[in-house]
Amino acid sequence: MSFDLKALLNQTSLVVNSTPSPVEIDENIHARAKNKKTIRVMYGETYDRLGHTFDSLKYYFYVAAVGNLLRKEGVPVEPTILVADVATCRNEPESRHAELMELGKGRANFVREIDETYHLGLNVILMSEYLFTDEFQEQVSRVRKLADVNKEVFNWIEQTVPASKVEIENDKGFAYAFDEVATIINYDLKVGPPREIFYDEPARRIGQAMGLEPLQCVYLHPTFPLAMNRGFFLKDEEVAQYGVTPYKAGSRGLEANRIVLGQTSIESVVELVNNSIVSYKPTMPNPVLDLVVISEMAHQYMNGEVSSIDIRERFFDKTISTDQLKQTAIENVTNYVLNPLDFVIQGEKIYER
Amino acid sequence: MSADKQSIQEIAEADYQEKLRLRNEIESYYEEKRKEIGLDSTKRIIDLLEDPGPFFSRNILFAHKDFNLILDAVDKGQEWAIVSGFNPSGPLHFGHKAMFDILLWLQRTLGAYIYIPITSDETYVVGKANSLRAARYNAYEFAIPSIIALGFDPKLTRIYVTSDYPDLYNAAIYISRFLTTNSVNKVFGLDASENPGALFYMGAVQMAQILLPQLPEFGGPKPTLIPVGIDQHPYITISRNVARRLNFVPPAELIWKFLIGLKGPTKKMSSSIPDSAIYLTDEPEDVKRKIKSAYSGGSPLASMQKERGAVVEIDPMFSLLTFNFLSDDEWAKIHESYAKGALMTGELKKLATEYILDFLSEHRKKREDAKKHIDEFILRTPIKSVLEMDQLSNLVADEKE
Repeated sequence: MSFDLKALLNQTSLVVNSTPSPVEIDENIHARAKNKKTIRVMYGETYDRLGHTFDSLKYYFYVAAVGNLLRKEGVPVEPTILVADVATCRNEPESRHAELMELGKGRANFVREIDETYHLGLNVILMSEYLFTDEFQEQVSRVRKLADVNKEVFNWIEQTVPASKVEIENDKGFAYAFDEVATIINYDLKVGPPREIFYDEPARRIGQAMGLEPLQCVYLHPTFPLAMNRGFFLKDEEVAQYGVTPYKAGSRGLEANRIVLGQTSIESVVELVNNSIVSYKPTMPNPVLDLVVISEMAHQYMNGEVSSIDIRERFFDKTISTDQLKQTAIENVTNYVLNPLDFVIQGEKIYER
Repeated sequence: MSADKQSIQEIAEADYQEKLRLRNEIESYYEEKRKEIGLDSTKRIIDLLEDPGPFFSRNILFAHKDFNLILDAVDKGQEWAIVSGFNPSGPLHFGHKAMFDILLWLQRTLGAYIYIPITSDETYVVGKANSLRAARYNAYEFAIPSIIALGFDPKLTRIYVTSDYPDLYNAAIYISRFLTTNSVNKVFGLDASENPGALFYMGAVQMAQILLPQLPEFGGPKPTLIPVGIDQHPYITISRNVARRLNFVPPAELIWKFLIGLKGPTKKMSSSIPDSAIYLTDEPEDVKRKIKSAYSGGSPLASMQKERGAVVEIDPMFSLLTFNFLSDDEWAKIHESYAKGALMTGELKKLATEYILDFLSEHRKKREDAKKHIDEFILRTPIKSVLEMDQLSNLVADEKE
């Protein structure tokens, strides 16, 4: 059986769920391709000052895989990685904005280097590059107008903001929420971590209320910190359920439990992997399995192919031992990610940290 | 339909409705109580255990506080302890056996080091035995051999009869300074009519038992788990407060549901209601008699039970099987057939009788054999730390350095 978009959407090693179902997304994408020029696929990320996480690669590789598979079918596609520099500055003091915007440029450049290294065919953009364009501001304005006259739409905008930040965002006129919604409703397929469902759902409704084609989303497995034991996951229910923010190294102050590209040494990777609890129980967070999945994707791109990854099934069928999984993670992360990206890092092409 | 038949039908219907009411009441009782006292559900523990075993997966262990400390210790390969006492007012019954099975499961799967105080002093001061001699006799003749016979690992289990381990009382004297009579009376429901021994036992000796594994003689502060019934939660709260003042790790708790007594779902299996319990020392004839007259979740009308099934959740025999015997497959099968009316009460009682008699026959032999091994389990470590320090917490701090 050939590996196509439908198969990619059904990859249980990567995908935790989607809206709508994989079959419907596949049908809709192909139907839209017949009616319009280009299928737009995106993954967006903010960032912190602590560096570029290994976990972001999963999203770059997945978006690239959608792009590659659609291109193979002759479907015009624009797989985009959006570095949300302006969004990153939103809740930071103004005195730090210049520094963060610079970091954003560096981050975008680093993603381009990753794109080049693995031949991903990605389109990398900064939020600041389109946010102030007339075209985008018109889109924001359309959403605002709709929210002004339709209380339900305004409520949906409010729902995109975490409860703890509603008051702050209210004072700012929900600028971030409007920008966010106006950004994502333009895409045909959005890829992200499961937590993003909280703002994707309202955005989908808003898009529909504006007469746009409904937003479709694929959610990849949550990112869990390495070298944390079960006590941590029992105590922190939120991390156990949704994981940490994949693209922020310092999410929850757990940067020491993440692989940060260019910062985490191979020795540290070995230590992090060996100190992680790996279980055959599917309900247990398994960050080591994610390392194998991501590095296997890297391996495939190095070989110039995108195909099925069945490591999750094989592991839970117990055809791979927990020790083997750890060993594979260490070897593959080293051989297919840290070493290939080393020249990028050593060559100081990456953004300034 | 004749008037008599109609009346039987009405009685059976009322009986069925009452059983449903009781089931709902009991089910909501545990959940409401858990939320009221701020304990966490064990549902997420199930997600984190490779094999959650029957007690978690059947929701017998339904609430906890700080169980994360135990998982932390297990994953780091650090020692952790369980303390679970037994009041030797008589032999063990199946409610006790279930409790010890839980401890055994925790020992086998998570490597618990278990301390089992046999509280002969409690038995005496609360009037459940007329002499310390009688309490001690129960301890050595019935309780300890039965506990050992269940299969505890002698390398990971220490049992002591409190009245035979006087060093414990020095620890209790020390700990008593961290408590007030008011707080003890409030938590244990004591008043001025109580004898001072009961006050000293409940307040100080019991705290000393709970905190004993954290004394320097036993390796110092460590995560300690106290599995208890929900009615004992206040005792753990008071011990957590004392532990904090001693720079010890506040004990974690794991709460179980009671095993339903043979007389019906509103009372747990208890030594204070002898016919509510089947003892591990009962003769086969007693077992059969008790089971025959036991309350049932089924209907007095066979036709109604076949049609609607039994209210399994309040059935003492099903509860006893659930807590004590069945594999997951057997449990699911029996639950389904009893709940759907394919299995009748008489058949369930027959099945339970077979399980119980088989177990008791085997247990009797193992208990006799266990008497030869008591010494391997008895805790005799002298407790000197409480005599040699100015302040216990300082000594613990010194030990850590």
